[in-house]
Amino acid sequence: MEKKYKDIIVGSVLAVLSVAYLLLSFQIKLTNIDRVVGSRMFPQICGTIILILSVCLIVGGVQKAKQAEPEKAGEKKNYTRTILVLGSYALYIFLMDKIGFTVSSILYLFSQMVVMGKWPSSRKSMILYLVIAVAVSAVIYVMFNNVFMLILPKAGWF
Amino acid sequence: MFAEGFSQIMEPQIMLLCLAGVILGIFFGASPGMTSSMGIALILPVTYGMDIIHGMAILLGIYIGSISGGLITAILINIPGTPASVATTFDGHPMAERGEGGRAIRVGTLYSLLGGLFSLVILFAISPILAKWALRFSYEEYFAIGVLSLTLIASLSGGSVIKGAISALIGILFTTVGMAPVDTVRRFTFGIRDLDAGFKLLPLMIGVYAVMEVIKAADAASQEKMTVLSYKSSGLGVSGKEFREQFRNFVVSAGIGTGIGILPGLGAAISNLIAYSVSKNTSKHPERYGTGCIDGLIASETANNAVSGGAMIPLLTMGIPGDAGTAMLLAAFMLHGITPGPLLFSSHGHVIYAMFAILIVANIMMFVVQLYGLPGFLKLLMIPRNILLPVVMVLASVGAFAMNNRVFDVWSIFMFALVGYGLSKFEFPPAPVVLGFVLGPIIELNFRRGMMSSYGNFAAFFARPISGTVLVLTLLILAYQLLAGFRKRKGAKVQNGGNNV
Repeated sequence: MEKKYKDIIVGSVLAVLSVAYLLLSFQIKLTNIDRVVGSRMFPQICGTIILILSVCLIVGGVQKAKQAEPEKAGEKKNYTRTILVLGSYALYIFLMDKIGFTVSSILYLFSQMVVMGKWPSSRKSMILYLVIAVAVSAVIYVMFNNVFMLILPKAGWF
Repeated sequence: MFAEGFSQIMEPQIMLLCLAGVILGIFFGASPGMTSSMGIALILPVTYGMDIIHGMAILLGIYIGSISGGLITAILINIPGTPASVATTFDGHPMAERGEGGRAIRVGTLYSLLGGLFSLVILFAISPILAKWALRFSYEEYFAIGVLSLTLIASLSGGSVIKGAISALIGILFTTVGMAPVDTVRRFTFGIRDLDAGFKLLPLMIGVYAVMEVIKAADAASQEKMTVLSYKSSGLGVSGKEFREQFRNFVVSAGIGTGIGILPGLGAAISNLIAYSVSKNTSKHPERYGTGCIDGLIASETANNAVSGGAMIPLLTMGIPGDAGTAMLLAAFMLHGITPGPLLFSSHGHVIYAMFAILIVANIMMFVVQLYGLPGFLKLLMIPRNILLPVVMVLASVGAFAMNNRVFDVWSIFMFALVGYGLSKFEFPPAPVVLGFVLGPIIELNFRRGMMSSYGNFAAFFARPISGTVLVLTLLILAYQLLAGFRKRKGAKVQNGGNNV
């Protein structure tokens, strides 16, 4: 993605989304309780303002793009870690419901520490990560179950 | 009133909770990328089972501790722990490089305490009066103040005003999901039962701030080691003579901090920079600023802590939070079944007085803990971020889950993280999203009630003296922003035109 088109791109995305939002807002039921304003009006006002602002963003972006000097080919950013961070978090939430909080937390903590640490991890740090992952999950489980009396997602065996 | 407050909190358990809060707060404040709002968000689930005063002891402890904690990293490592201590690096770090790190920490901590106490005096003096006054506020006033707050936030969050405004509106759009106020019609729920109750602030906060921190830290995985400068020192760091010399600087900075705290939407992140520049511009020796003089350090640290008391004023008297940290405190109140606002002073007076007492105690604890626990905090700061942040994420997920015992809220963290990531990629400020999310329902509810009571006549909002003034002020700010933006563009065009031709 070229930097100078940033505002045009995001402006267009927001414009499309706000139009969709506005269209959906017409599905909101109107009731007799509040006939003056109704539940549609406020979302529609906000949606319209976003639409106007995103058009401003596009217009401003077009002007900027015209004036901007051609960019030099910058270094490509590596998104591997970002994707791994977000992906493992999504997997964690998914597993939380399936295999319980404790096991999924251990898996998540360990994998995340590896993902965020220096690559490749040394054997020593891997062991450290594992110990911390198990300890933290266990402490949280005990604290929440026994001290704060909050029930965490459970699977059959935990 | 103070006797009543102190008598309620003179329990070992409350004191310990407050101390724990202050310690955690200083740690969150000192850790780059972690802020008071995140600290409060993480500890909030722990307080679900407590009564309000116990819960407030730890939460306010975090709130006070975290604003001051930022100076540790700012001075000794030259990385501001929170945006609130950016200006502290200007003079604090040069002092540390000169070998006066310990003195800088002591001066900064002392003035954090003094700034905090100054703002508390203002809080105690103003808030009961303001609360009485605010009793007369009706829908129109709350609507107007909500809109003004959002306008200020959107236009002052840095960068483009358009982007700030879009961020705030995105925050509002998220609040329109779920049951509508007044007539409880379902909106944008697509038949998904979990969406009926709408999104919660905690997942939004964690998604937008905490997950972003994790992504940033992962990107910077090949971190350079942070070097800590020496911090040996004793005493308070300032002599009696210096204290007298700095008195004017202190009062001005504390006034700026408290004032900025009272204004909705600005917060500590801006106060330290403004106080620093005011102090520099009115100083007799501005050339010394930036080389490690205590004047700049005092201005910055006084102002950022003075925000704490100021920001509590609109929160307690009107239920309108000034920044992300107080927004989280507002959420904490709600969870404990208390709605801040003018009625709070008559219906829950004892809670207010207990909170005032906690704030005083927390400030004093912050002073003691920060001075004597410094080596401990520096050790904690050395915990690698790839170990610390995943633990934070797990705690945040537990907190989000425990609110309603549903995994849906944890999924919403993920969704907000994607939104937050997208917004940051396109340089949208995150703070307005949070404040929009908090203020959206206040604005909508009062807009609808106001319209109903005036039978659909919007002019009624301008007809009342206070709401009318506030709305006109909002329009003036908007007009000024538009004009400034227009001028800037024109100026840029002239410059660019010259270059291109």
